[in-house]
Amino acid sequence: MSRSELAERQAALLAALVAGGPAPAGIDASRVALEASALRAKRRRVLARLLPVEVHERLGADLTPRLDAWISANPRRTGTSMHADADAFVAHLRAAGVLGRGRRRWWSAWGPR
Amino acid sequence: MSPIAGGPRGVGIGWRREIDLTVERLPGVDFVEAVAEDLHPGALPASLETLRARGVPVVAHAVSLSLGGAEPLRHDRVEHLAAVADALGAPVASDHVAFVRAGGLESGHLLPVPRTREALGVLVDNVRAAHATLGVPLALENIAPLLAWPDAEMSEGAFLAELCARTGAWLLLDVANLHASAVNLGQDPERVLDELPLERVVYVHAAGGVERDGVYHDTHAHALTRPVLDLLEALCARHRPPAVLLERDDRYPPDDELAAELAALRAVHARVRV
Repeated sequence: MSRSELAERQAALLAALVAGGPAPAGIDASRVALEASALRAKRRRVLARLLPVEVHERLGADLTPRLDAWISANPRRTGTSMHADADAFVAHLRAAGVLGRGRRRWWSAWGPR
Repeated sequence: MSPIAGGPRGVGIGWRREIDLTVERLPGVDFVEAVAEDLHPGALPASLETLRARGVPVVAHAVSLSLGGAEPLRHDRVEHLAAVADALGAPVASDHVAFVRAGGLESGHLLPVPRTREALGVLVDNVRAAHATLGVPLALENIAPLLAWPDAEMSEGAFLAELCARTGAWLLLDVANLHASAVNLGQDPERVLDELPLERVVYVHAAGGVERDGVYHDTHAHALTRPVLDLLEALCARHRPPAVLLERDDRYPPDDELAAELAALRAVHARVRV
């Protein structure tokens, strides 16, 4: 196997985990599903921590399903920080009319990961 | 004694913003570890400055180098870790034997690499490249896997041993992750301990987790469990590492519970064995 083949195999596994790709041959599909669910839960937790109070208050119990839908539809691209991820989610909520058009910079500098 | 100059000794805890005052107040904290991705080298949190002023060593820990990734190493990540380690006066920096990005996507968490010659070669290249940038020794950590690649050519112990031998890197041995590999992949943790160059362990991670449906989840959000303490005991019985650190990242318990966990780690670590 070459370095480029290894890169392809890693990309295929990651696509299966975060972008709905098929489980790679030879890797237990149930474990791929379990890992995918763990990655989703971690991103949801981190995003929830980074979101402003306003979003938590406005969405309440609706936040988790909206986060899950966002996470599934928007795999995090290389170089996108979790802060930028949270920023994009808020922009998405505003575009959908779920949130008002806030002007305030709401994110905290260098918050928890 | 630590195998590296000024390396951590005794018992420590992962410094997190949410428990910064707790970490400052807890009795018996000999060193702490801070996550590089959470810090800006030019603006360290006051709490870390307080600990440093007291002479508490701070180790720099990274999660995003993707040292096991077959794509070119992100030098900006290594430079950030180097700058944070320098700002902290860290005796050692660490990251994982894992990949976290590939094909333009970020995983957000540590994923295993295949234990093949090819993947080992990639790790060796990346660790050497990281060494060229870092001003401090680098320690490599075993991860807690939920899945395994097919066609492993080497055991985990042999894989890590050869990685250290070829790069001169040190080990950050996570005993909770060793337990995860045992439960999730059926790997014999004692065999891993037998195969690892234990004299290269700079410090040890221990953390709590939870087992669900036969799968161990390394949550860092639950209490330490007996099997993890037993693995620390098994390690110390072979070769006592210089230092052991408790990782807690979520669902923080009252301070006295964290103090009790540190005491439990110290009891195992400091026990005199004849």
